[in-house]
Amino acid sequence: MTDAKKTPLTMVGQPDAAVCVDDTCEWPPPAAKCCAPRPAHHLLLWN
Amino acid sequence: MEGRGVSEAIKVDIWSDVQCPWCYIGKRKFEAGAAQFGGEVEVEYHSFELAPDTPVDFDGTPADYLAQRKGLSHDQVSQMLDRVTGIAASVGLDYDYDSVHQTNTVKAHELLHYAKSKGRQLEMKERLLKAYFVNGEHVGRIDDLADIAAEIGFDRADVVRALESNEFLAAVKADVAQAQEYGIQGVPFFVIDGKYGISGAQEASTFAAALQQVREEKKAAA
Repeated sequence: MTDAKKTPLTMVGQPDAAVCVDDTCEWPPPAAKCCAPRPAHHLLLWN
Repeated sequence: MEGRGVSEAIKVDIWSDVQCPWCYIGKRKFEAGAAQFGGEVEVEYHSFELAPDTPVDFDGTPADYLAQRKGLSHDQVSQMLDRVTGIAASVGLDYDYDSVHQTNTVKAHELLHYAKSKGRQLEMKERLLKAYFVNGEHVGRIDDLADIAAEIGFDRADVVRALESNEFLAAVKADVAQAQEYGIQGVPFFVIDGKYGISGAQEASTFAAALQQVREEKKAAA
């Protein structure tokens, strides 16, 4: 796997494609939500 | 599409969660895109936990879960699930939300890493997504996961041992950390050849075009 810190990705495709940002999995995703930081409880549990 | 160790193969790393409806839809669209592309593609799945604080034995349906967690009405939740079920059907997936068991997916991710260690991750990924969205099987409990693994030929006792000992938990967390380094905030997320990022259940043609772009770049660099 490439070192993510050294190799930033070039994003391709439509910016509003359906994603699951959290367990709601809204579609189409609100753009602001897709760019928002994850909730703190996620970050804490992941670290 | 699957192929490891093939020098011409284009590597595709995919972050995904077993309980992500767009991940299964995106998987089908990616597979269609890879077929359109027609070249060698090496796929590796990585773990992403959408709701790591979900209890393994959540008491209720997915509709209950969403209503509780998001403060949505059951009508709103029903509309959401109907919409995603319809889109799943458009790519040949028969989602059955009435049978889905909302759960914690960390053990399912550990099982995916176990399967990867045996060279059979893609088979396990498909089986777990089908278990969750189509078959109504529980993908959070070790015994249920071991049954699923045994059904496709894994050593059930060894699966139980690996999951009970958290043998692959560090690998799951490493994937999650890698996702954070990339800035991945939603899944599915595809990294093609370590250079191009594709977020979401994009159209098959998007995947095909990105794979073609990488192939042309590799040819030009050769």
